[in-house]
Amino acid sequence: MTSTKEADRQLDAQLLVRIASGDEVAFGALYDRFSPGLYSFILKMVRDEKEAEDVLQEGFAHIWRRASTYDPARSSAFTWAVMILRNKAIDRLRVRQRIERTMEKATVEFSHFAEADEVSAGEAERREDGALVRSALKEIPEEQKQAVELAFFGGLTHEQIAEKLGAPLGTIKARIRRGLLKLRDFLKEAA
Amino acid sequence: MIDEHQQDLASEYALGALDAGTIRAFEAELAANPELRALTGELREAAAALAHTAPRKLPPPELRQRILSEIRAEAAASKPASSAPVRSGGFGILPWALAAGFAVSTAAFWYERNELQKEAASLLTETQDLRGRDALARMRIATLAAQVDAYSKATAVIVWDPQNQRGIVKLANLPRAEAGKDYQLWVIDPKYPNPVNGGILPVGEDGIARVAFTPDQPVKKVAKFAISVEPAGGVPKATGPIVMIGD
Repeated sequence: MTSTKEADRQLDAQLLVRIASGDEVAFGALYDRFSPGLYSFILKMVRDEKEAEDVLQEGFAHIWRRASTYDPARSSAFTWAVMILRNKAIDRLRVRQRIERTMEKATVEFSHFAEADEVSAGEAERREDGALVRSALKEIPEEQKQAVELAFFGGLTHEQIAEKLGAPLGTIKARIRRGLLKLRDFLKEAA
Repeated sequence: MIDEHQQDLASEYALGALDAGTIRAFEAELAANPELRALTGELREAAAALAHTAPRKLPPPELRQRILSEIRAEAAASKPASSAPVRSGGFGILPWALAAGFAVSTAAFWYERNELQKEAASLLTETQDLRGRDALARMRIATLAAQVDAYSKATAVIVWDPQNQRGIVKLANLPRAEAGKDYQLWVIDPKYPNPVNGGILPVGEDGIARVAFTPDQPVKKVAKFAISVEPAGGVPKATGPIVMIGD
């Protein structure tokens, strides 16, 4: 890991320690650091700006209440926050019974986002992490990438992905496993 | 040695795709297997990194205030009536100091932090009127990103107080401006056809600078901040290449 990233991780972890003690300034600072990335990601999941705002609000309220449970040995603060907000988004998707519609539209939606990504590529490439992960995804076979993205952004279970793609469950598990391992290897190598 | 089944479980765990019963069993296995725990952590980081690939979209500015209001209400509700108001902890006793602390880059972070502690006393006087909670809420912190490779290690953080129309920019790891050139700050407000001049940014040999600024014209809404390279002494209208920009 680069020293800049390590310093960032330490700073984020420090902010969470301070948030756990009720420090509003630290909370505002963490919001400023994380909210652009988290909002973009949640919007990609729920595909509705109002809903993305609600998820962001719920997620940050959760971070405020549960900052003391963050364990830096387990993950970076950003990863911890991503997983909190992703769970909130999945809850909403499920509660509102959007999963089926999401499954039906997933192919179209993901191709749409691929186009949007191209449009915003110039901006994204200025963000080191985004550019890095994009590069990694290009190295991953399309079928593995599709399965990983459906699981992560679509919030679909492996069984739902298998059904949607018409592939055996074991095949989907293998694609996701291989895709994630390759992504992990690429990111480790880049770090 | 981790087998494929364990790798499958680790992948599903990282993606939050396991049911509650399997999670409990897998977490028990994790507790006893450091290698599996390490793999799971790495897969979790890899999965979360996908969030960076979403097309960039900023949340509406008012959402920040909404969220801060919510957590303040919670904090107030959970506190005895006679207790002292919530105070900022740690080294960030002032919004300026905290935000300035974001001008971090590797070792510079700790250096900066020490410097900020030294500055805290003078900042206290300087920003006395900004200490209220409302002041904290209205602060905007912008992180600028490099536009060209030569600035990839540079960091630029701006704290902007829209009410008082002033800000502080903190820079680190900036290459020295070439002879006859200065860095100049611009505030991009959709109200104006051209960026508003924020003044020149003198950067020391160590690549570090901390500059308070007040834009030339009243800024209603900041869309972005930008830093360009301009003729020494600055110019009223941007002409040079933008080297860093952000919001």
